[in-house]
Amino acid sequence: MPPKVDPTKCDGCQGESEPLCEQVCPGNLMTLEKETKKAYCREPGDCWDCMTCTKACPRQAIQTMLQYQIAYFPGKLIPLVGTNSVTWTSIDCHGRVERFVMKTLVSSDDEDED
Amino acid sequence: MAGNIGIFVCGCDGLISGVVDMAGVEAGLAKVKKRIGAKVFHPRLCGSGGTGAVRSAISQNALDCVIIAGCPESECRDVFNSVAAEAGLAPEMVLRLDIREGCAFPHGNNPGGATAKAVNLIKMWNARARLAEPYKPVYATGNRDVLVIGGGLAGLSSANELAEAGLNVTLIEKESYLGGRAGQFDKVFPRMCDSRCGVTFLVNRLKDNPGIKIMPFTEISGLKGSAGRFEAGLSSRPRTVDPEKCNLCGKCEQICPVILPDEYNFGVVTRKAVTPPRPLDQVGSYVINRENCLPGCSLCADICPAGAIALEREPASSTVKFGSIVLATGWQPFEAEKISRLGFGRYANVLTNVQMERIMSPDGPAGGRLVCPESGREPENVVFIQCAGSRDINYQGWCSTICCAATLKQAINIKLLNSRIKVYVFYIDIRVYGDYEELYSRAQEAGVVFVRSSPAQVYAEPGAAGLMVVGEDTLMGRTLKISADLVVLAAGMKPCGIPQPILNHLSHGQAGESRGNPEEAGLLDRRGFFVGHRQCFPLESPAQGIYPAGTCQEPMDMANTVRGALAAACKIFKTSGERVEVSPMVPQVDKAGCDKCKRCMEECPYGVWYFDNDGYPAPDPLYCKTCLTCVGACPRQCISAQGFSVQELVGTVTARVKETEPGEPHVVAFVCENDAYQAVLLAGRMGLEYPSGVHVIPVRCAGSCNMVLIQDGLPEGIDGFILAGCRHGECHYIHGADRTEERVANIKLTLRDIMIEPERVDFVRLGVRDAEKFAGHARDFVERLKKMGPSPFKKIN
Repeated sequence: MPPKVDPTKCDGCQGESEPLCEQVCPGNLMTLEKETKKAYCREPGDCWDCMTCTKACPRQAIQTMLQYQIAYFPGKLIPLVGTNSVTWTSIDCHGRVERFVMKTLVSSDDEDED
Repeated sequence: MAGNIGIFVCGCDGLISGVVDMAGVEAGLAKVKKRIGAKVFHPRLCGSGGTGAVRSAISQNALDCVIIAGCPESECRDVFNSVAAEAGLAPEMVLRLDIREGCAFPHGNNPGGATAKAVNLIKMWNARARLAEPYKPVYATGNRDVLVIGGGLAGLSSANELAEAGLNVTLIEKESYLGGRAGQFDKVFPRMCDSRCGVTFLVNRLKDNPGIKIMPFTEISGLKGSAGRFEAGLSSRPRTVDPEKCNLCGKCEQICPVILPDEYNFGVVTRKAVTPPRPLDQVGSYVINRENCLPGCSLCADICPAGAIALEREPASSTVKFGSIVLATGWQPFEAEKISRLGFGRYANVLTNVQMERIMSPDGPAGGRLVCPESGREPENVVFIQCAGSRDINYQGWCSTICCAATLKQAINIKLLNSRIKVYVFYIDIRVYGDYEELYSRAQEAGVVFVRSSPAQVYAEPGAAGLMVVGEDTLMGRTLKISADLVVLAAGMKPCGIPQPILNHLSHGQAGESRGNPEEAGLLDRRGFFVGHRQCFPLESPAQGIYPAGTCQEPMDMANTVRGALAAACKIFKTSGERVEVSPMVPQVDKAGCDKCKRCMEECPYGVWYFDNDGYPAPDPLYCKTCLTCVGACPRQCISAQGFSVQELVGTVTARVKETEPGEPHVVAFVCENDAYQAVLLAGRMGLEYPSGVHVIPVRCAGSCNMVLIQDGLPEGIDGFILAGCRHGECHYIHGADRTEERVANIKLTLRDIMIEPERVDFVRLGVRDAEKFAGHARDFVERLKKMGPSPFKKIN
């Protein structure tokens, strides 16, 4: 399911000719709508749900709906991107919430014991 | 990266150890071992025994970073810095942690909580210390090119000061002559010396200086770039008369058929479309004002014996590159004809104060004699009417500050010329501030009559000579009617306005997007004055490198104009040295992480960012004020400053801390070090209690808080965040707090979407003395968090 842009949160990266989502999309699918200056996915059928734009958006304006095989509308998967982890919240069609933390950067074993 | 950290905990003679259980802290830190070289618990670190302990611990264990947990940073700074310096540590490697005002004082009745909080804070600071590194000094090459806009008193004073210091100055003036208003006037109060004398002196000094380029007839037509890298388009009016050939015979002026009011004399006399050189002229020839010419007329070109006139010349345009601008666009007189009841423009004998200056000037139309324009005879009665249009919501709401003193000066001069002339001053209030009060007594001694009245009308009585002034004498409570040969209206000052290219730059920045309205930030007056922040940053515009000087800021007398001009020059000197050592806290961009999204450029309140040669954004270190709003703005967290980075703060929110008390929510508060942190300290000193779970971390500005701190902290199990910024309009970095408020509102929406209570993140505005507000707010916030229950992330960790 293609990314959905919340127009109230998207600021078109403030007049940027190429917003962040457009820069990161591996399929070059995201672009700015000329008049509203809001991002949108120009070819939803080609999106393979890599979620790169969803993670990259500095305003957290992009959401990805879950694949219908997993959950039909309104199921969704939302990342919260930290410096060395991504926290995923999955909300299925019944409103059940699941959260996962994925470490993206493993720091050296420098932490003290608890 | 600090590899060997020393933790020093001070008991502060019982102030800390009376509440915080030092043994408990020691036990709490028992497992904090990695990269820790020493842990010292001392009853009083700043005493001689304490400093000795610190010194020997540093040298024995070869510590490269120390955490001093004790009083706040503002206290004992010199003691610890000098101890560290003796042991060979840079001052920035001494991290101060406040466990007195921030821990012992507010939790006096809760020793258990205070002890646990102290342990938590030390762990959080330990995470910061691991990333601490000694500062590398930052040097920048100064920028020595300045553009001065306006050749009046302010512009000349600034330009002279800058050029004498060896800077390259380009001075542009839209008229053909220098000196501005000061060159047009007669005398200067309070010394009654010649007004033109000072500007002539300045112009002569400037002429001797090779570092200055004077461009008359030139205006700014465009502005690009940022502080340090400005590029301005200048457009000069066409030189229709060749100054090399013109021999100043004046035949062109004689034959010119166009007759217009003469602006140089404020319309007291008329001029032709061809005007002779004015005093302090910079063009060196007669000037043809092409906009006044009749279509197809070429009489002047035909008659010129020297063949100096070519009417069809194009305006010249050029570009200059420079680092800073002095904006000295000055003022213009209020249009007194707008007040029809006072008869200006209707009766020839009603003048404004500036016209009176020209009449009394030795080189003015009357040759320095006092005459009525209508009759050409000396007046017997002169009436001055103060506040003509000023302090009047229908015209100009403000007081122009100089009109009272100017009127007193003119009244005294009239009495000196001829003491038999009767002089009346109609005033609302005489506002001669400071030492100028002496003018008031001098005028009274000279026999000037003061009437407290705002006159109702000036009119010509049918059949009688002269004018009648009618008003209510509010002191005597009766109407008053005085006949006058000459009426002088004290019309106030109006700003000439800021050139449009600069205005565009201030409000839109380089990328063309709105940087926020300078009017909203209170730096640009709605009336057109460039007020700045009167107390803190009176010379600063929202964009660095642009410094207003003189009466474009607000109405002021000549003394203040010169002061302001010199102050603007001072601001420029700061950035003009051959090799300037700038703050080590200038942000740096990690190019590996940057994807050139330009958010730093957009959010910088001062517009100091530019694209470097590789196309990456970079701040100009000369002009950066190190508010670090960019650090908070960067979506990729690739901007950091020495001693302040997102990674360090992330370390504090991801440190493995424990609940201060069972069930007590863990709250991290990022507070602005300028205002909000002072309120927190004050709350501690006042003994105001707030929950022990609130861990306060001072930051440069609320705007320097990156939202990744929340995105990292919430999954780590932090129950709530408080972000505290300055009160509305009080942010020292213009809109750091506003940016944070915006970011917090945005992240709340995300939290709502991922089914986490948005109320877990809270933004509050605190002034320096809002201690009670902070304590109350923290209590309420924790209360709300308790009702919400622990963070849902706690379950998965």
